[in-house]
Amino acid sequence: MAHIHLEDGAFSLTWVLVWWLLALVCIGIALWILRSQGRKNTSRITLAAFVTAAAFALFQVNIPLFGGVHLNLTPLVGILAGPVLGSLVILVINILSAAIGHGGWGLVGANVLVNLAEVLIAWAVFRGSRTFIPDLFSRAGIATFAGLFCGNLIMIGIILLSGVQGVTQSSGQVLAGLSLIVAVNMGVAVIEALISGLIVRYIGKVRPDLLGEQGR
Amino acid sequence: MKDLREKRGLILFCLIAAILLAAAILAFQAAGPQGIEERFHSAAGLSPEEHGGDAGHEEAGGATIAIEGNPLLYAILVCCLVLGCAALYYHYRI
Repeated sequence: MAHIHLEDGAFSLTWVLVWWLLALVCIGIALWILRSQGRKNTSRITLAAFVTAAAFALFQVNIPLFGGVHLNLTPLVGILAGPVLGSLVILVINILSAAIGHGGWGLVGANVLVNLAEVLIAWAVFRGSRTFIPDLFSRAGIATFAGLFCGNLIMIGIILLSGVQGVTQSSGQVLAGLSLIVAVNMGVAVIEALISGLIVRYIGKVRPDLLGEQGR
Repeated sequence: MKDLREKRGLILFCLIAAILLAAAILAFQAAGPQGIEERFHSAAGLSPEEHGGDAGHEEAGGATIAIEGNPLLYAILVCCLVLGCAALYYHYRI
């Protein structure tokens, strides 16, 4: 559940533009790949719409655990929709979240990059560890841990690189503070991993073709 | 042997989960009972007065489940997304 919970104005305009530009480049690459694939995979698009709705709905719910946290299901997005459609899903979720006041517009680019890392890593770990971890529940859970951990690292990197305006603390002090956030976030990742694991295991039982697991 | 191979993933999952939960509890004790916004701002080095808390977040670790952002807009957007999903499912199926 990595998400930069800062308002507009926290980053300087230059960094806001840098992160937006990088995010748009990533989305552009995803669109180019999607276009070059030619034939539309309509069932995959419907599935992506379903995960968009589910992830957006859950993303805004503040759960009173560890003082207040929210889940975001981005690793599940990666596992079910794949990295290409998943990156578009992430953009839509972040834009809709900013539209209702959850996070600033200027931070959408940075948050897209954070969530994109979660999608990509979770997808890669889920696909790559198939022979080592045949069990779908554990594989999806471990992919979720990996994705969320990398998302949190990207979040720290973005904040440290950009620097928060009006803050007099040193980078080391900010890093120490953000490390505590990562630790709390990773505790919440256990819940997210359980949810993702159960969903993937259920889908694996009823529709293994949606996970590309028919051959197993 | 096959049983161990099947359970290997679950053992690894439980191990990671236990380590992460222990780390999260320690971090939560160190950071104190703070909401998402408060925790993030104090970590980034912003004082409570500087952020104003106007982004619709629950402050001070609210004890109930709450919606971040505008609840009315949230409801409208969720309804739109559900309708969009229904339309896509009607046309394309899965």
